Amino acid sequence: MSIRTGHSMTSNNHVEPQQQQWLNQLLQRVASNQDKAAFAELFDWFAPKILAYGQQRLRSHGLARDLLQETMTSVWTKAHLYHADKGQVITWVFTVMRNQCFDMLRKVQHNREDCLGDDIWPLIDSREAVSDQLSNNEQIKQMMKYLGNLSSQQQQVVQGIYLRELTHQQLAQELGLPEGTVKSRLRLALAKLRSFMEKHHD
Amino acid sequence: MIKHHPSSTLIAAHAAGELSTALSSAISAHCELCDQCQQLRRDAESELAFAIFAEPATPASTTMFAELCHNITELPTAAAEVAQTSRYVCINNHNYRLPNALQHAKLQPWQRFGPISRMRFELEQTDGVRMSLLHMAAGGQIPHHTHQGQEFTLVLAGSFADEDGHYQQGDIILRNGQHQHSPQSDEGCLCLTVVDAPLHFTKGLSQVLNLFGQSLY
Repeated sequence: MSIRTGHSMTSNNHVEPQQQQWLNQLLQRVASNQDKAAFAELFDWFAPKILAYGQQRLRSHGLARDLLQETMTSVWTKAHLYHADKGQVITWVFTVMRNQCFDMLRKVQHNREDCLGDDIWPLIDSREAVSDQLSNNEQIKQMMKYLGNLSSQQQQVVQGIYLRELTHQQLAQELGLPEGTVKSRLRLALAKLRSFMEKHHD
Repeated sequence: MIKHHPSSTLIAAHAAGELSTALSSAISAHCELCDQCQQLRRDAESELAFAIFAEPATPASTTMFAELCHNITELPTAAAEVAQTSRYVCINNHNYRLPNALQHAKLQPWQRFGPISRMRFELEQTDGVRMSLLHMAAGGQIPHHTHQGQEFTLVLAGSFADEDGHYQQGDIILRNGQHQHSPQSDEGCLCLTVVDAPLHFTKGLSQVLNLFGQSLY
């Protein structure tokens, strides 16, 4: 497989610019007004093509129909995540369909119920997420600094519950303490953390 | 500055959704750090989308379509917000945010081998493919080994070096049976590794590690 650079198109994979614009307007109407008539037009245009793709990848009529249903459901419910300046409607619908198909294949072939497609290929632009991530990282750094001011016993419970994501019960077992002690220690630790944060935000 | 990238063939296969979960996750994590490869992936997605959707549509059962379409539009739309999650792993008192691709992947506990710690992901069984987070403490080294099969290593944080070069955040490198190397890290690093066969240790006492089979990575 090779990538052709840019958007050079051969004659058999050409979609007219007017048609792209028409699809774009339809999706905008779905996103802003939940326009059912616009969605029906999108559905008619995409459905046979999604079925053909599903048939080829999943090798079953039933699964291809499931793929169609799941893909178009996402188009309906997530239309507001599409931004015209970030690419064509057909590229966006392709990513939605590919992500769904990836999880369906994992389920069929490996019996996996978890959905990873939208994590591997996020539908929202990662550039937007990065700014969130940075401010979040700053806060985390700040929080880690305050964490160092707690007693070692208190640090232990905060780390166990929030960083290692253990349950109260798991952590209590690990520390050989009653669950109630873990909970009250955590409560005190959080109260102390909060007071640090408030002091430094004044 | 990222110097080591996946091949364009690999990015195209990734865009098509044709790689294993492990390899897809590693390429995705690289693209998250590398604007250049993210753009290549977008171009590949656009190519695929046009190739698939420009096919002339064969008319299908309209009654079945009409009903399906109607049922979908009965669903509420506003509730479908996509929350960006931030999941961290903690090792040696450092917190690292996991890449987007690994936000919901199932993790096993850390296992320590001296200065090296490994956290393995629970994956579907596909021909022995394994994915792990590998942490090397500052000054840590992995004994001389070769690879049976392929090993992809993506630097998520910090840096490491081997006989062939120095690798920093975002760099992804591929090693196979022809390479023999002993990575070491002066400042410490966290890597994502994807291997499709066990390592083979080649020198001195470290050969004992071969007895433990798939001990590392």
